[in-house]
Formats: sequence, C-alpha cells, structure tokens
Amino acid sequence: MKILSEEKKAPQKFGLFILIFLRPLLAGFFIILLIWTSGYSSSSLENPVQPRIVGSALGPKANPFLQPGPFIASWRILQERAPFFEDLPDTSSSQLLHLSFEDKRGENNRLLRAEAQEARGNMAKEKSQKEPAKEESRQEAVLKPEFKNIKEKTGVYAFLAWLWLIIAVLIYVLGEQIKEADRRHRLGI
Amino acid sequence: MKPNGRRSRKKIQAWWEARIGWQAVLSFLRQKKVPQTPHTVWLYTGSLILLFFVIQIVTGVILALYYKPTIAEANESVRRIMTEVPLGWLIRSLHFWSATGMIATVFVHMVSIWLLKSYRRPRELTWMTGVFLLVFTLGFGFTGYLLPWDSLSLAATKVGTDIPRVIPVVGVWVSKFLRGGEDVGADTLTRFFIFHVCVLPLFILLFVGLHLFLIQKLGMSQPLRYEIKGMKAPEIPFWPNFVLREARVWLLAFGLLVTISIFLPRSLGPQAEMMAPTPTGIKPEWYFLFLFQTLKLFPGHLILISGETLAVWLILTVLAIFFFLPFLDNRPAEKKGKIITAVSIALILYALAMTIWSLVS
Repeated sequence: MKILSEEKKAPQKFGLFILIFLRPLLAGFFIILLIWTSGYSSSSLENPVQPRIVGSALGPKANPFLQPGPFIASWRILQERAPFFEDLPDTSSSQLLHLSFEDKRGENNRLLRAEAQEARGNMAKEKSQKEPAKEESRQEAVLKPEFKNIKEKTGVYAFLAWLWLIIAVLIYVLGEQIKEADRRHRLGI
Repeated sequence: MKPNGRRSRKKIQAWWEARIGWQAVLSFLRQKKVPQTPHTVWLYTGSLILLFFVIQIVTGVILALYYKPTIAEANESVRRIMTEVPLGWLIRSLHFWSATGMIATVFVHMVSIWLLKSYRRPRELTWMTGVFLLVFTLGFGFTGYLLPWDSLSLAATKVGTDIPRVIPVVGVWVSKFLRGGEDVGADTLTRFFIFHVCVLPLFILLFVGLHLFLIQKLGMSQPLRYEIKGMKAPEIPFWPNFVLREARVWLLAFGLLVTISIFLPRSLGPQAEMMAPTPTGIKPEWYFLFLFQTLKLFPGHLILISGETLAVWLILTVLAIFFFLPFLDNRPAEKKGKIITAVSIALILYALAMTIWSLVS
C-alpha cells in the first residue's frame, strides 16, 4: 500500500521538480537576454561620432570663455564666423577666441583668418603624423577582453552568482532524485 | 482545473506517442544497465564530451553570425566580436574553453578505455570510431586556431600544414589541399573555415551517431576485476539512475566552464601579416605540444633521411598502432594485459613530460 501511494505521488513530485528546475532557469535565461541585448549596436555606423561644434556656436552658456558681460560683443562676432571655426581643436578655438576679443570691431579679420588657416594646417599635419602610428600600435597590440562598463561587469558577476546558486540547488534536488531512483531500483519498482 | 490539465497533458503525450513512440525509447533506456563500480566515474567523460560539443555548436553559431572569413576582415571581425558585440568576448571565451575542455575530456576518455581494456572484443569498432572522433576533435582545434588570423596562428598553421609534405607520394598534395595553394593565405583561411563549420561537424555527427549506436548495441564493458573473477558487476538502470548522476557532473562542468571563461578570457593577437617575419617562440595549442616537442627532438639528418621525416613516420606509426589496438591486443576480456598497461602508462608519461618541457622551454 505504501509503495502504491508513493507511486501515485510521483507525478506531483515531478511537477514540483519542474517548478524548482524550470523557473530559475527561465529567470536566468531572461537575465542573460537582458545583458545580451542591452546597449547592442549591430554596426559602428549606427553610433557615428557626434559632430563636434565649437563652443562659440553654442552660445555663452556652453563655454566658460563666453560668459555674458563685456565679452558678449565678441561672442556675436564669433557667431557670424561660426562655420569658419568648425573642426578646429579646442585649443585653437580658444586661441582664436582670444584673438577675436582683441579684435572687437573686426578690423583684424585678415589676421584672424590667417591664424585659423594655420591652425587648421597644423591640425591636419598632426593628424597625418598620428594616424599611421595609431594604426600601427593598434595592429601590434594584443586585445585583452574586458568589461565594457560597470553595468556589464555587475551583470556578469550577478549572473555567475545566480548560476552557482542554481547549480547548488539543482545538485541538491538531483541528489534527492537519485536517492529516490535508487530506492525504487532496490525495491524493483 | 487540475483534471482538465491532466487530461490535456495526457492528450499531448498520446499525440506524441502515436507519432514518435517515445515510450519504446524510454523503455529501452530503462532496460539498459550501467555497471556501478568505482570505475563508473570514467563513464561520465563520454557524456561530458557531448556536453562540451553542444556548447561548441551553440557558441560557434553565435560567433559565425559576426565572423568574416577573409584575411582582410577576419581579425577585425573577431576584434569587433570582443569589443562591440554585447558579451561577445564571453561567447568567444566559452567557445575556446569548451574546445579545450572537449579535447582534454576526449584524451581522458580514450586513456580510460585504453587502461580498462574496454576496446577488446566485441567493441573493436566502438574504439575505432572513437579514434576517428579524436582525430576530428583535434582537426577542430587545428582549423579553429587559424580563424582569428593573428600572427601566431598564421605561423603555427604554416608549420602545421608543412608537416604532411614529408609523407611520400601524397604528402605534397595533402599540404596543397589544406593550404589551397603553395603557401598559407586567403584560400587557406576560407578552407579552414569551411572545414571548421561544415565538413568536420558533418563527419563528427556521423561518427558520434555510429559510436553511440555501437555503445547502445554492445552495452558498457565490465571492469577487468569482475571479468577476471567471472563475476557480474552491480548495475543500475541507465534511465533515470545513471542519467541523474550524469546531470550533476554536467552542471558542475558547466559552472566551471562559465567561471573560467569569465576570469580567464581568451585574448586576440595582432593581425597576421603575410610578409612579416615569423614571430619568435611560436607554439601550437597545448594538445599538440607533445608532438611539437617530439619533432624538435629529432636532429636535422639521420644517416639517409631527414629527422623531420623520421619523426612524422614515427608519429604516424604510433597512431596506426593506436587505431588497430583492438586487433593487436585481441585476447579474451578477462586477461590483464600487463604489457599493454605498461606501454600505455609509458606513453602517457612521455606525452605529459613533452608537454611540460615544451611549456617551460
């Protein structure tokens, strides 16, 4: 009778096993899916480099050099010349800004233009010198994998902790199942 | 609700039963017995290989979605997998470590079969299909090593594909066939990619199927101790007793694999340059180190033939002996086979010593 009653309980035990076994697995699957899909871009073209705009074009609030006050007139001059300052490094724009402060009435426009052209030329020169070296160092370097950000790092460590917890629980559950299976085998059921 | 649920479950079971007949399969698995002795631990290695193989397939498919098998893009695509694809570095690391685990487990599995003399009659074909599976697994390792197209893998492949040249008649052809030309280049990469993702998986699946069929048909061998005494070892049913035990091993192996992959991720070398000089200190992966060191041991010339030729012939002879072992040691199962055991242990120690020597040198 006892054996029969235990046999009847078997589907319930199986259901409980599924409950214990599948739910954490599903939860873990969704954690992995979450980590997997977060921040993914299929191409670097989808994350283009944002066009850099010189501080002057953004107005006084964007640049500490361009605070409202006596320099506001200079800022207006620079606003008119905004396309002229595009793609210049910050240092150059600061230097040019300084120049323009000296040249509030725009008398020295030619000098300003010449300075900007020189800065642009220097920048192109620097770029052409740096790029092969950068490319060379990139090719020579051994890429060691690392976490992209703290979010990924936390996610991966949380997943690892969850994985070992699930493994411990499942090993315990499997141990119980083995005992039951061995008992049934001994009894010849 | 419950009776309805049970009824619908039974309906689903009946639907599948009418089409597949899975109860017959379960009944067969319940009838199948596995010896329950201290040697049973070696039996887990077989299913562990399958676990690693499944992980290889899953991670390999994910990597193949982003990998580009051309010399211009291969290294860059792997770099992109590691830096841009979310957790791409982890997937690659899992692929690498599961490959390492698979090869290590295949070695352990074969050594255990060898020492337990489980290859003897009537399991000769099981052993021979196992040797094929070992060769295919090593083939996976060899072809997969080139795919990131970094300087070390290029140099190692040049050395590796040069070795068959010393075999008379077919050697040069084999080398050219592997390389897709005279030298390692774009065609080699394409070929190795095709071997790695199409040819070898097809062969390995075919031979795994055959191997498993033979194991099911012939059953698992008894340990020598019981064969000598003429006793029957205690047994347990394969389903569910043995499968549940195996499941514990799979869980532990999977946990260890993920942990190792996170803490020891696989790095990527700089892009291979065809015209660049061979980098210093090139070495193959650990599973080829003993062969590599053996080749290094031989002098340039030995009387009439080159040392390399002699070494390759020696290795091929050992492989042939390994393959035909069941026919060389075809004594009844209850014979101990002390010489075979001694030779086996000597060869294992030699392989270990050569590997360590190569690692430290």
